[in-house]
Order: sequence, then structure tokens, then C-alpha cells
Amino acid sequence: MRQLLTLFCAFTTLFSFAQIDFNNYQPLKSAGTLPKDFSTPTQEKIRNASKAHLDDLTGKQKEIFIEEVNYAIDELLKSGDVTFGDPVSLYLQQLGDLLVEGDEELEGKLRFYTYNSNEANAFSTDQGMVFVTTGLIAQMTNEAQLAFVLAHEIIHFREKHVVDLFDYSMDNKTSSYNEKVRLFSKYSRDNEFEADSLAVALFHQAGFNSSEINMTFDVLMYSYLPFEELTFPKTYFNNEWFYVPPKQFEADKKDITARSNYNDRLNSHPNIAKRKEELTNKIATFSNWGTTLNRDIKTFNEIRNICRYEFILNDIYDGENTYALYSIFIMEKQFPNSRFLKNCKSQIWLDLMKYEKREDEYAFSFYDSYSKYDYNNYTYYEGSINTLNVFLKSLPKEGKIALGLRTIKDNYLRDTTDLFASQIWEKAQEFTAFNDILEDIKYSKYTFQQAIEEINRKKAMNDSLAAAEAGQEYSWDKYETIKNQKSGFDIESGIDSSKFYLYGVSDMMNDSSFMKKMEFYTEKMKAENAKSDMVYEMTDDELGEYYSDEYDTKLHIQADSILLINPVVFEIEGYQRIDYKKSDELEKLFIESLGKMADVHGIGIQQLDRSDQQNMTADDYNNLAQLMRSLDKRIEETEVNSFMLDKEMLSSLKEKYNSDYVVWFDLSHEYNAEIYPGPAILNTILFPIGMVYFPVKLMSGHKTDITCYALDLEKGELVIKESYFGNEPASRKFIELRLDALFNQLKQDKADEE
Amino acid sequence: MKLLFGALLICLGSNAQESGYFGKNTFLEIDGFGQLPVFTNIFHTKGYANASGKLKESYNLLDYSFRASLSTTIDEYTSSGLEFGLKNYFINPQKGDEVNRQVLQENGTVVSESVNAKAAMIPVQEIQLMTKMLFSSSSRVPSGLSHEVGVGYCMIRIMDQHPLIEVGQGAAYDAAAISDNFVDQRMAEMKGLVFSYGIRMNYPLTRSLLFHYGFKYQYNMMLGKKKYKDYEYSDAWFSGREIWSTVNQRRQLGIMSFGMGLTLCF
Repeated sequence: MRQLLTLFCAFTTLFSFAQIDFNNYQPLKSAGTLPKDFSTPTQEKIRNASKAHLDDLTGKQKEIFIEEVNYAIDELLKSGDVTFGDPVSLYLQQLGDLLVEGDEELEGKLRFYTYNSNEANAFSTDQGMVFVTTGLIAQMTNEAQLAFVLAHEIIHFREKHVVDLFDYSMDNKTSSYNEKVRLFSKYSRDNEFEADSLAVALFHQAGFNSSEINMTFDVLMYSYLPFEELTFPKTYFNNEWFYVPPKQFEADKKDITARSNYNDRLNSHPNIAKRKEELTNKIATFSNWGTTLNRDIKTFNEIRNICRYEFILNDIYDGENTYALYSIFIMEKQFPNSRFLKNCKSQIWLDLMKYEKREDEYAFSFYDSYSKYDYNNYTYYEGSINTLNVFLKSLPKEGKIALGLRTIKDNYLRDTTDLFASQIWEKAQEFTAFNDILEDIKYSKYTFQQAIEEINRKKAMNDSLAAAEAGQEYSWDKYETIKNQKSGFDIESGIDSSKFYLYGVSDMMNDSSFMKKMEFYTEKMKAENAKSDMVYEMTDDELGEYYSDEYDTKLHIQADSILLINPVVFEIEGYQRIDYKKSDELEKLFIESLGKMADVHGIGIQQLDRSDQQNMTADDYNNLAQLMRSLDKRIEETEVNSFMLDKEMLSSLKEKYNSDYVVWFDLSHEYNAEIYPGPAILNTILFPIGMVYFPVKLMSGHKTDITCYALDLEKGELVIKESYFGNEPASRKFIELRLDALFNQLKQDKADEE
Repeated sequence: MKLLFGALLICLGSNAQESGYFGKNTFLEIDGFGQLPVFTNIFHTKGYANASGKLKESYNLLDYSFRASLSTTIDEYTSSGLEFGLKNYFINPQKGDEVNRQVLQENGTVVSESVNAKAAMIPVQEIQLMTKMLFSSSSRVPSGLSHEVGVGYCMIRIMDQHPLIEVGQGAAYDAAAISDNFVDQRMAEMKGLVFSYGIRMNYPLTRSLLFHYGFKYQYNMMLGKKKYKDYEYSDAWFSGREIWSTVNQRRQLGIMSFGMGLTLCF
């Protein structure tokens, strides 16, 4: 019966994999009923866990352990980055079940979930959950490597290593910090050796090939590199319209510096050389090794492709454009017609060509030199990706605009009915005009090849003229020469090939509708600049009034109906320690207050918050996860709304939840009077000053911070990001008062002001 | 005074759109404050209190006030208003174990008299009219942590002009005679100024009521300094000059007070 069930599950899983359309890929989504790990409230989990026996821990230690572990894991489960019931999680579950088959102690106790992160990692919890990142699977070459990682994590669970480490750290409280780090590190490394060693037995029993055990460590060691190491072709950007001279890709790939025998004395894990050595000895103790690398290579590849697509998405969300472009280049080899990859590429180029705020506002900034620091240089690219990195770094703004326009337009022309492709093409044109470079930079009306032919023709004509005018005075024109040079077009010396990008958008330069669009957006930009220039001509009073009006009206969004998603609430105790229990209570109170105040102001609310996770459908869970991710991205991108990849998704949510805006809150409270021994002694000695110092300090110890974000679902833009700090307790009435004023403003319409 | 009312009218006329407590921009505050005897405890000399017709040794540091104020918000973080305050405290007329006086005779000579007697502490009352601003850098006025700054005009009055006197053995005057002529009438009423800073925490109770507590720091100034020297010679046992300087000292020592009250918003 069990075999039949396993076969059925395998069939279902395989069938679900077959549905994946990588050309029109949709981000990884959870499916089915919410597992109990997700739906059970944290307090209930804590109550249940406290009944369990944790022999090594004392009563108090057990209480702390259970509370900290459950809250930490639940934070992760509610982050939206963990998926369940999706093809990857189902696959992991199937593989995990295979590893513990026949083991009565473990069978049916483990739940496997996908953690969507580019970090190559896996971990298990003492509750029996095993998390594997998409970043790890994306890096692997076969199923056997993944099986060993799972076996290692299963052993951590079986041997209760999490509890063991906690117990050890609690028992060594009296040691000095350095001593504690050294001892803890040693203890943790011993646990890792044990997990490696015992995992071999599970791996062996499942029939996998022993050669892959040590290969798994290579996967970990090189996981900081892209998931494949392929030479970036010099002709990658070349097509009918665009030509990049090969010399632009002359930068060598950088040496890969990772090594296995690093100093691990203060690490939680032993170094890879030692682990390999230990395992080689362990492997030798087993005989009759299996030969399986993949039970079904097609399935593994499909799972890995999902993870690689997620890898690309994560890089785009994180702004890691070079990594994302390189990964797309790899995946395009397999899926050359993927709409998803082409749209991702358009998004990356739009991000690269976006305009930046005019710098004259910061002209007198004391911190100017810091603000202009190129943080991108921090990123160190090893291997073949460095060729692309150097190319992108050396590409000037006008080059990025040309290549961006080219890529985005080509994607648009691929399918003009593709809504995303047409929207991003429109935005690219707006960005081009807003960059305000068309006055100085003259893109050519010829392609690179046409320009060479044209210059040869002109050169020949000049030569014949010169011959005819021999003996006469030269008629040089300095200014014409400069103009030509700026256009990368010099009759004397030919084409300046380092300005290859000037010849990549010739079709657009000859397109009157494109040029009209440029004129339209240029006018729009000038009008916006003129409006902001008014600030420089204002008196202090006018400026104060202007900013006051701006502050008021930006909150007036006429929000009749909003979608509230789970607030992030923290009650901080002591030195930056989160009191989870109080945070939960505060969150509950905050959500109640939100509902009440919205009701008072006649704002309809739809709630999509984690407090209701027990009744959530997988669809709601996915929507919440996607919204959180989208909001995170937009909160980082404060100046320009250039992220359009999830606009479609946001528009669909507008219909589904019948709300124009998604509103998200962030609340934290702490009481910290900040009376430190030095000033306290001084103020006690200086008695009359202390009479003011101590009361003021004690009374201003409450710090409550509420931040409100509102995302316009139609435009896909973050329209509000407003923080309110108060020296007040986070009590119900204080919160209601703040929300009352805020909702009053949100309800109003900008037009009423005008 | 015209200035004070003018300021209040201007404040009531202003209307910040998003300010106020649940949309209410005017608020009435009623509170009581008690002085913390931080300095008075150090400098105040021991005297006598009237305990049911008998004098009893006491420091009598009692110093309390009641206030009522009407304010209106100017913007989210600022309000302005007018405060009426009633303050009560005691001054000690006693110097050593005697009361004395210097009487200016018609012929220009000064006769000093001292009597072995004890005098009860004298109650003083102040009526304060104050313009004040309540502001906060982070909370919505009038809720949360707010700072209060005010300047006020004080009318100071000696409340008991015939304090209980007990005379010692061989005194030339009886207690009733001293008590009848104890307070110099020329200084029975005085004027002063007060500069105040307060910090307080306002807790919302309902949508229109708040509870607050906090500390106030005051610097008190007496007016009429030029005149008080002229009142050194007096028939009264507690001369004008002594009254002025005692009240002045008492007020200057009363720097810090703690209190609580309610705020009603409408």
C-alpha cells in the first residue's frame, strides 16, 4: 500500500513538473492547503513544544529555547520566502522520504520546504522542518549531491544538534566572549563532522553514487559564483542594428580564488578540505555503493531550472544586474525564445538606463564625496562573468541608454501585443528623454556598418576634392570637427569604435514617431524641472509653506478601499532584543486599531495579514508573498519607479481585492531612558542640572516608530513612505490617534486641495 | 493683559488642517501641582505651624497649585493657550525665638523692639495668568511627550494677616496685640513674573479626554524691588521689606514641581 502511495505521489509530482512552461515562466508559488507548520499560531506551537521532553535543558533553558526557536522559524515561514506544495518542495519531500525510507524513527516526521534565496544553504529545525534554498539547488549538477545535503540535515534533526548547541552555549555563559566563540565553534564543528559521517549511511542506503559526496563540497565552495561557468561571447549583443567591437570584451576572466583549506578555527563549520578527508575515510567503510546520480535526470533538470529562474528573479529584485544578465545568458542557451527571460532582460536594462536625480541639489553637500562613491566597485566578480562586468562598468551612460533602448525595443518588436514589453518600451523612451543627453549626444542615423561605408564614401570624395584643390589654402573647420568627434564620426580618422553605441539605435533616430515621443517627454521633463527650480527662488517662508503643502497633499490619495497586508511589529526589550510575546500582543492590538480607524473614516479594508494565516488559502499566501517582495523592492527604489516586472501581478490584485492601494505598516516600540553611568554621575554631582536631566531622560524613554507605505496597484508605484516617530508608549489610544490623523489624510482627495 | 488676550485670540483663530486630538483642536486642561522641596528643604528654616490653635514646630513645605488652561493647536506639534493658576504656599516670619520691629519715630529716630514670641507661618496665595506654548518634536499635541513653555504675571497676596502668636515669659506685648499688627499692610499684595518650562506625558483615555503627569521648572521674579527698601521701618512686626524678601526667597527656591491632571478636548 505504501509503495502504491509512493508511486502515486511520484506520478503526481512528475505530472506537475510537466506543466512548467519555461518560456512563459511564472514565479514559484505555493499550492494546496497550508501546512500546519504555517497555519498553527506561534503561541500554540510553543504550548505544544513545552510538553515535549528536552532532557538536556533545564526548565528555564527549555522555555527560552522553545520560544526563541519557534518565533525565529515562524518569522521565516511568514516572510513569504518559503514555499510549500510547489514543485520544488514536493520534489524535496520525495527525495527526503526516500532517504529515510524504512527508518521508523524518522519516517513521516520530516517536512521539506523551499526557501527562495540565492544563498546556497540548507538547514533543519528541531521541529522536523528542512529548508533548502533555491540558490543551492541552482548550483548543483545532479540529484545525488542534493541527496547528501538532505541526508546531512536529516542527521542534524535526528541527533538534535540544534538543542545540543543551545544547551552547550547556555552552559558556557561564564566564559569570556573570545573563549566562548572558540569553544562554541569547536563544538559546532564536531557536530558537523558527526552529521557528515552519519549522513553517509542514509546516502548509501538510498543507492546514490559515492563520488558525489565530495563533489557536494565543491558546490558549496564555488556557490558564490554564477551557477555555470561559460565564456561570455563577444558577439552577444550584436544583431542587425547593434554592433559591439570585440575589443570591448578584452578583459580577461578573473581567477577563481576559493580554496578548501581555509582557517576554520572560529567557524561553525569545518573547512571543506577537512570534511572531504573525513568523509573519504568514512566512505571507505561502506561497500556495495550504488551508481545513481539522478533517478530521473529530466525531473532534476526541471527542478534545477525552476531554481535557476528564481535565481535570476532574486538577482533582479536585489539589483544584482550583472549577475542576472550573465544568468540569463546561460539560460537563454536552453530557452532562446523564453518570454520570461527576455522580459527580465528588458527590466535589467531599464534599471541600468534609469535617470538619477539631478546632482545640483547636492552641490554643497558636505558629504558629497561619499554620496558619489561608486558602491558597485565593491562587488568582486570572479570567473567568466568578469568579462561582462568590465564591459558594463566601462559603458558610459549614453551607451547604457543605447543598449537599453535596443534590447527593450527588440523585445517589444518580438511581440507587440505583449503588454509588459510595450509598457517597458514606453518607460524606456521616457527614461531616455529624462536623462537629458540627446542635446549633447548625437546618436547616428547609420548603423555601425553603414557608417563605415558612409565615411569611406566621404573620405574618397574629400580626397578627390583635395587633389583638385591642391596648392590652395586648407579650409579646416575646428567646430565641425568637434561636432563630428562627439558623434563618433571623424572623416580624418574614421569611426571611433569605442563609441560603438552611437550606431546602435539608428532605426529609432530615423523613426519620426520615436523622435516625437522624445520631444513630448523632453517637454515633460523641462516642465518638471521648472517646477522644482521654483524652490530656488522662494523665500524661507514660501519654502516652509511649499514643503508643508507637499507633506499634506502627498498623503491625500482618496483611499476609499485599501488592502492591508501584515504589519511588521516589534516590541524591543533591553539592548535590541525582541520580546516576541509582547510583539505578538502589540501586533494584535495594532491590527485591531487599524480596522477600527479605517471604519471610523469610511475606508473599506481588505486584510491579507499573517494574523489570519490559519484561514489563509495558498492563493492568498502567494499574493501576500509577492506583495511583500514587490514592496521591499519599491521601498529600496525611493527616487524612481523603474521596476515594472511585477506590474501585471499588481494590477491583477487590484481586481481581486477591489482595492486601489496596498498599505503596509511597520511599528516598533521600546523603552530606553538612555541614562548611562557617566552622565548620570556627572548630573548627580551637578545637582541642579540633574533635576532636569533625570526627569527629561526618564520621560522621553518611550520610542515608538510607525512607518506607513502605500503602493498604488494600478501604477505599480510606491506613493507613500511616511514615518512617524513619537516619544510615547505604544498603547491602543496612542496608536489610534496616529492612525486617525493618517486615515483622515489618506481619505482626502488631492483635487480638493487645489 | 491685553497682550495676553490678544495672543489667545490669534491662537484660537488659527486652524491647522491635520492637527488636533482626534480632530479636536481646542483643549481645556485642569491640573494640580505640588512643589518638590529640593532647594526649600535645604534653605528653609524651621518655623511654627498653627495646629488647632497651638503652635507646633514645622518646616511647613506645603506648596501646591491648581491650574486651568485653554489652548488651541497651531499645527500637529504645537499649541498655544492661556493659563490661570492658583498657587498656595507658606512663608516663615520667624527669626530665632523672637519677633522684632524697627519703628520710625516722628522725630526721625528709629526704635528697635524685640519680643520673645513665636509666630505661625503665613499662607501666601498667587494668582498666575500665563501665556504658554505646548510643543512636541515627535508626538501629536496634546498627546504624548510634550514640552510646555510659558511666561506669566503673578498677583501675590498674604492670606492670613493675623497669624497665631505665642509669647514667651516677660514679653512686653501680649499675643493678640502682636498678631493684630503683624503684617505690614503696604506689602499685603505684591506683583511678580514667572517663567516656566514643563515636560509632561499625556496619556489618551478616551477620544476627548487625556491624563497627564509631568514636571515643571519655574523661575519666579518679584516686581517692585525699588520700593521694598522703603518699607524697612514699620509699626508692624513683619515689615514690608521682610515680607518682600521672604516671599522673594521662598518663590525663588520653589523651582521644581510635579503634578498631574486631565485634558478635555473639544
